[in-house]
Amino acid sequence: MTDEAIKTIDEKIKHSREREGKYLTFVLAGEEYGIGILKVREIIGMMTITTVPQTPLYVKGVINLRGKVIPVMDLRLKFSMAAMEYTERTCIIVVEITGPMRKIPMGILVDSVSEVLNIKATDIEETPNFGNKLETEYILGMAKTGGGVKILLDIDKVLNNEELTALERAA
Amino acid sequence: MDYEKISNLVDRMASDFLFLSSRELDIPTAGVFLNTLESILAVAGQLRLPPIQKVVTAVNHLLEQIIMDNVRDKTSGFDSFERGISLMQEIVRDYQQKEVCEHEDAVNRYIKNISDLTGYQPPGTLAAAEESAMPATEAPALKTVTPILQEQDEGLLRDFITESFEYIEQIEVNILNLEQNPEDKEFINAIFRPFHSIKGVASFLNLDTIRDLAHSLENLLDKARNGELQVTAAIIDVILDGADALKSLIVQVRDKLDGKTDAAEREDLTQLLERIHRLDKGLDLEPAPKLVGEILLDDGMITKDALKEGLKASADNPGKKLGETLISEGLATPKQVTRALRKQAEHISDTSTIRVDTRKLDDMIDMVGELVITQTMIQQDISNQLTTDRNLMRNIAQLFRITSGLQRATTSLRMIPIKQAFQRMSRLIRDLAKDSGKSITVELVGEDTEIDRNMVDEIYNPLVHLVRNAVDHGLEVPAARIAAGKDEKGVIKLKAYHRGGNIVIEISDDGGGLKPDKILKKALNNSLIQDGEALTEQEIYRLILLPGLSTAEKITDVSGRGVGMDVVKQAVDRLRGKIEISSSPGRGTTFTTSFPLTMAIIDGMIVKVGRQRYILPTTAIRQAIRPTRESCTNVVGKGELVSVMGALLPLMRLSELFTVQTDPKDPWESIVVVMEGNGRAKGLMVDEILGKAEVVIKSLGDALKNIKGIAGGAILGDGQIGLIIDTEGLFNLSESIS
Repeated sequence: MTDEAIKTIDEKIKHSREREGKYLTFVLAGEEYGIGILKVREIIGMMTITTVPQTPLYVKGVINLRGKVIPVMDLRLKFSMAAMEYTERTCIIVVEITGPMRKIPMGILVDSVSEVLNIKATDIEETPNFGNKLETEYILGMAKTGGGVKILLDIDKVLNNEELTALERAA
Repeated sequence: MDYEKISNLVDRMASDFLFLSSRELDIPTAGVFLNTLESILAVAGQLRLPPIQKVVTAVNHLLEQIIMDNVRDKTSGFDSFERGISLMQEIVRDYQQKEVCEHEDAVNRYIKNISDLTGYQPPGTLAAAEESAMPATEAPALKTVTPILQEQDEGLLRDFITESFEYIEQIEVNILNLEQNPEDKEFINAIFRPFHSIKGVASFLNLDTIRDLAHSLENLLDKARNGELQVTAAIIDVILDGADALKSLIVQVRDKLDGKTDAAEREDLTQLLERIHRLDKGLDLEPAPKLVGEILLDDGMITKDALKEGLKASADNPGKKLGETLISEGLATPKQVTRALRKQAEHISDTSTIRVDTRKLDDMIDMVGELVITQTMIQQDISNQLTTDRNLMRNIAQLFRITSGLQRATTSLRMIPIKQAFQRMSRLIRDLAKDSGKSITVELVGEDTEIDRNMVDEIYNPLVHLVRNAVDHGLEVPAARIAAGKDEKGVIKLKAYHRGGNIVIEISDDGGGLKPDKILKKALNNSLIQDGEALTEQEIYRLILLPGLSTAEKITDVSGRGVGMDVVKQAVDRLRGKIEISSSPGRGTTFTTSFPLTMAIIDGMIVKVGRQRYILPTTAIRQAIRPTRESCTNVVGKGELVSVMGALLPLMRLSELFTVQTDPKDPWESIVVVMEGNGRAKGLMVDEILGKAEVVIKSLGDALKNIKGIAGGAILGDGQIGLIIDTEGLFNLSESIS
């Protein structure tokens, strides 16, 4: 094997090692998704959201999290899925997104939270190429577990920098 | 077998646990523990250590349940986690020493405990793994071998370690109190006692180094308690260092117990002990606040002989203080003595302040705000239950008083006296005076008036502009002053005081005053006003705040050219402030500015549109009306107009601007709030006015800043968020839409 090839393999192993770990899984339109547990600040039930004008549709508004005002986005709408009535299982997962300037706390609305899963590097597969149409940048990989395939999200990239900047400018 | 790796992992977890700041697990921390547990499980699998595997799986489950918020009783969940960690430590240590585990019972008890707490089903409970059966039978036989004494000792040591950490924590807390109240015997006692307890147990357990250190610190405190020593910063430092040293000594003991051989090198305590000793003997003491006499002497106000004389006279008159004697004997002037006294006071007050990160303050203010909201909710719940328990009602009322006091106290934490800004300005005036060849006396009044820390910087620039103006245009040149029969020296007075919720800052000069005819002429020339308008004196003065009007005949580099008062006006407006001008010919001009005490709080009117509530800043509201059908006109293609007191104002529908879902209404069915901003006025149509409120302004966060028409959010009385309207932005938005 050439050095070059060994290097790529090494990097690949390193890459998958980095993704290994604990994930909080949740359901969105029947599919299971996962977010790295270290990104999650807390999970709270549905609460009244104050709508903020002139923001993209997926920004549902702001909530009062113990005296701090934080924005909430509906992940269904962000992923262009059909909107759904909120039920008692609807949850807000408060995550910390690494923005262009600093860390931004943000709530994401999901259908329901499932469990905490340990996902091994060997269980993670690269995101298949869906063709150019689909943005897959925010997918870390697909995890095969006993219960099926879970889509691991890179929550920092779900809102990419342009969108964060656009949100900042929001006009 | 090599147990080092697993022992390191378990110990790391234990130390992470020890450093948790609160007795609650947040998700990221629990996540870190989960990852460590995973590694432990992997290593335990390689080494084939079933008891560890069992405990790890149980702890793992427990943590997951805590994250998912399925554990009702948070404290016992946390306690179980703690027990799990120490159980793992014990098992690993057993393996290291004896290659067997003797804790099978404890493991089973632990797993039982977890299942009670979370309904946990250990894997393979039915298939009774053969691995676990083996040690279970062997264990009891081996147990008797362990020397009983050693085990007892170990238990005692562990208790000692936990206790000591608590004691040290007490010391640390109380020493901060002591620093603020060095005279308070209660605080000295509160520090003395824990040292004493540590000493006692340490000597019982033959931990000589710890005993000696605790003993010498105790001695030092004893002297302070008896008043033989004064508590100074040096003493506080040495006690803190001593507590740190004790802590690291105790950590060493723990590491030894845990079988860590690579424990850090022994710390050299000789230096610390020497410091304690010197302080104990009264050496190295920090100078006590200087005596008034010394200060006077140092500043060369009085001679040594004069001081001696004064001291003697003062000794003859025990009722009198040195300062008084010096004055009455004519050895020093009252001014000199007061100055010296002030210096002395400054020295003392230096030690009683601490610096705090403003973010911590903000967090605290947030939390207190939430406390008030929660309390209001509880109060409502109780009154809904029609209880007649008078005791409960009395306690609730007391709680209410305490929280509102707490809220006042937290907001006042951000306040600082305006003194510094005033002093900077008076220095500036002196410099400007030199440049312009005028001689000026500066008078400062109300320097101690308090204002929000952030506000000081904001108001500084407009104020400087006013001061420059006063020096440059307000005061006449000395020759003109003499000709007018005034003192050659001009006076500029800066005065600050509180009025209502505002801070008022007056900047006055005793110069020539404004000249209304000149202002009028200029305004007419620049067609800022129409000929023949009847203006009151006040209105004429206010003309100088308009852009494009500067009455200065000479352009100087002090007050700039042309740009001037309009900039000040804008800055004041932006800070939600007001500016008033009064002037009398030949006697001078006074600019009275008033600002809110803080930018963090806004006085607003809560309005409702659809199901959303918004807050309109009171400063931007002129009036609120319910228009008649006749007063509303719709100019096709241009927009709606409403006539208010004879003026036709453009009508904005908030529901349209912010696309709020609401039933379509006509203006005469709703309420129109007349808003003013930057010289324009518009009517804003809302459904309902809910009331007035003082709210704390919160940013919507980095992700949602700079939204047109919105200045921020505020947490309303029911804990929900209302958006605060930015008048300027809303006007611009309405124009860009139509």
